[in-house]
Amino acid sequence: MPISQITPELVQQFWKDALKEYDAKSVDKDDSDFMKSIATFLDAIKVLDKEDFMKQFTTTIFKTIYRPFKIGDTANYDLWSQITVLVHELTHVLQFKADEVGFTVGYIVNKSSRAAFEADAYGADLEMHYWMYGKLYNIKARAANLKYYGLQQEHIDFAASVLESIGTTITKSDAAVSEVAAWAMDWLEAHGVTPE
Amino acid sequence: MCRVMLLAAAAIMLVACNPCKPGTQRCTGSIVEICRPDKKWHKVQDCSKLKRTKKLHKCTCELKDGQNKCYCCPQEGVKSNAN
Repeated sequence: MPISQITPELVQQFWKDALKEYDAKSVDKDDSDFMKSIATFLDAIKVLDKEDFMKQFTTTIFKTIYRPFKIGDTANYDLWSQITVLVHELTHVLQFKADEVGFTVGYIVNKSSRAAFEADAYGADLEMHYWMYGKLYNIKARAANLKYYGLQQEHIDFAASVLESIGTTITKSDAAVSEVAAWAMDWLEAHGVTPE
Repeated sequence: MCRVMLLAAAAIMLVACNPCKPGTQRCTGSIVEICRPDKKWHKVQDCSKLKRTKKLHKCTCELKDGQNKCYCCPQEGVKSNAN
């Protein structure tokens, strides 16, 4: 089954199985007063537009993934993006579970830690992209997204180096680096999804 | 005994506090590490724990544009407990 034939039902099943596998849960941002409060706060301090936060960014707090789309509905996110964004966010869930205090404090107060956590999660969706399309995405452009996370060029360059290292490994080998990406690829193959 | 413990503590402090140069890359055994902007080493990947492969991998660095670039490279042999 090529990507064009991925159905909303398959994506819903993927989310259900993946959340169960990693002991996480998912909430629609529109249904969360907590997320609406954060959106208002970020807008007030001019960090991020309220509408952008609510409609474009998926946010993970501890083991809960707040998504700006209804699973299987392609109005905001296409189906493949709904799969890869979950792989990215579940990587944060694993990072949290590995060291709850270290992850939470590090992400909030230490920019280098935040860059490292994001770089590893970007690595997971880099692997998903490579599995599906047989080529790496534009690493520098992806790393540049970190400017929306309050990070500077030195952190963006560091994240790009992490992604280049992972990218070199997966292009020279048949291996997967990320635990979540490996699980997702196994799941997709078991459900008849094949790379393009 | 006290002297040994002091030496051990000093050795740990030396390792823990030794800052790296941001952007530097290295192999520590099977682990690929890159130096963060705050001069701490970040573990990027462990070549002995790669998924979806039966091949053995080792950490390798090559010089590119005057900088060490490190990654996992497949080598001869098969993992004993492939996943």
